[in-house]
Amino acid sequence: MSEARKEEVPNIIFEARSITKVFGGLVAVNAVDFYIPQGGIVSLIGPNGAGKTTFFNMVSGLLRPTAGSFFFLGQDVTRLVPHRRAQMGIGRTFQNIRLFGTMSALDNVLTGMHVRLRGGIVGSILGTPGVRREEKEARERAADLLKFVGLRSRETFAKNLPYGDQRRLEIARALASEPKLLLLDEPTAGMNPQETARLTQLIGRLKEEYGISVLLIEHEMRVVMSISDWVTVLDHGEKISEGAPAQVRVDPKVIEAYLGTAMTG
Amino acid sequence: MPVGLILLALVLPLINGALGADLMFPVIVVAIYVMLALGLNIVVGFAGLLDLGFVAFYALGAYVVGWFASTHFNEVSFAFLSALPAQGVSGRELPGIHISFWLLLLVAGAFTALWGIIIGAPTLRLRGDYLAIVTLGFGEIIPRFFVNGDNIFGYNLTNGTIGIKGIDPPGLPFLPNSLNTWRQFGTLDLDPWYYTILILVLVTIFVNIRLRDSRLGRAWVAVREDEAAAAAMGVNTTTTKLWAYALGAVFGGLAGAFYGAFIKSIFPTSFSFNISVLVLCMVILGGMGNIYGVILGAILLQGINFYLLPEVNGWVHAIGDALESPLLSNADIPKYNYFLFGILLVMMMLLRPEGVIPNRQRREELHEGEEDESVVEPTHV
Repeated sequence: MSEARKEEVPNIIFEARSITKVFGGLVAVNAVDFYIPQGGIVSLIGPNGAGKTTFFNMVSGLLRPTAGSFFFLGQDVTRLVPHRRAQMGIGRTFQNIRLFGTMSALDNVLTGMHVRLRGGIVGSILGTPGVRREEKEARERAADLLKFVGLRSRETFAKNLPYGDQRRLEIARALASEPKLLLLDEPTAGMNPQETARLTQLIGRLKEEYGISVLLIEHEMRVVMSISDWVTVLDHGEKISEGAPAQVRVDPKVIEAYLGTAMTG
Repeated sequence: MPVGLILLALVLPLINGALGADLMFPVIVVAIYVMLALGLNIVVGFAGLLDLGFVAFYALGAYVVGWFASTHFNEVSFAFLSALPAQGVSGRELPGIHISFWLLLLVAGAFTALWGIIIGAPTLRLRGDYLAIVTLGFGEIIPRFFVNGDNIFGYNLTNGTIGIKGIDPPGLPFLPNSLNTWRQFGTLDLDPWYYTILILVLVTIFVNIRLRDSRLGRAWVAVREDEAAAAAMGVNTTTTKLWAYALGAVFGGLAGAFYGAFIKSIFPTSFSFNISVLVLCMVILGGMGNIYGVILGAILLQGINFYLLPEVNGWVHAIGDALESPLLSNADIPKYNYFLFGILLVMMMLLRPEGVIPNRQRREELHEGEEDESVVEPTHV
């Protein structure tokens, strides 16, 4: 099945080759092969403890895989530290929101822009025209991004924002680094149905308006099924199924993983 | 920047003269500490790296001036733009290295920045208590090196506990003789010294403000708040922290260089652990991360040292004389300054942990959810 897909989509932006992660004696992720096509929305699903977030943290570089390698834009990035991957164009959000709590919403987004700004120390101290212009443009762009994700309060401290706004601010902050691949870790966790619907729409727009590829971890099946181009299912660290949303939905192995073995043998 | 305060600072020597007061010496010392506190504020306040060894940079800055503007290296005779009296026949024949103080300021800044990186590098993976202990160690190692540096494989580098004496004054030798005070930076009229340190302090404040609002300043706060998230946003946490150490050290070094030239004799014992703690107290008391708070903290603590304690001492003696109590009339209140600072710090931590003029962010961190949670969890701190 996966061979067929490779032929269909020749432009692969990100690829994982037999990634394994062992914590002590526990195999959290076991020899997972995986790829994300250019401009695609790929979802990673699975029951709790399936190794999704571990896999995710390896993609963004916070964890090193025990074995296997990652390729981003054709380059081996397995040994690159997180900030180098961010520079290359991998942006992420966190499952448990990790904003810079006592920075304003705008400053959070500006921090996200860190890798795209050039302003050096001497330039900042002297206030050279170049740095001033860059800062001004960055502020405008940050304000635009806040508007794009639908956030009105700019000066509020991130931690004082309502929950849904914090989730959106995380996306704005990740977008600020101009990622080519955006990793969203349960972006709709804890959201009500309206907020979820709005966010789903937003993720769709990322792909259409910015051409950003998305890797999504999500529990809300309605979201997964409606926006994913491709779904990969992990269970106990192993890839048990992958395919188009409609295929995965009816895969007996997936149903078993989520609901347990059918009682009626 | 509040223009009024700057104007006041500019005319202070005139006020001092008019009042016939003897304020200039303490004011200059306070200004040195303002610089130290602002330097430490970059490390502790902005980047959130607890540093208990800041005195190391103060010492290094002072020794740079001690080495290169005194007769210490008397086996050579070298002078460069030195302000030593050119009219003296033997002026150019002096033993030792004599380099212009203004040049040495730059050297001291660069030298201490380098040491900031050298000391900062091994601590990059450490946080909180562990970081504090390691920096404490470095703060002890450097004065210890100056104590024992009088015999490094037979070479006298630091002159040990005897210290380096007779450090050249800054001076502006190109000025006409009519401006002799400024030509020579004498010990009688302290105005040139005062204006020099005032300019240094103003530059320090300016640089602090610019850094706080810069790309690097945001990265410092991001690293302080959540290092992993900062890294995922593309912030190089290693260089970000090293810059904090290096830039903080620069101001410590500049303050030390000025101190060395001003006080003219430096000893390893002048750079004790007490100074690291005192400067840290200034930062915490004034309001970590808030530039004006930190300045106020420095002025308050040194003000207590120089003005309040001797004053209180007088009162206590007067009371003691009136009551005919030898215990009170012979009391030496200024001796208890660190005891009082300790009490002050404990009280501040209990009553107003964010400092006198808090940083908006720090206040939020310390009073997180107090309004909502205090009812539910009254013991939660």
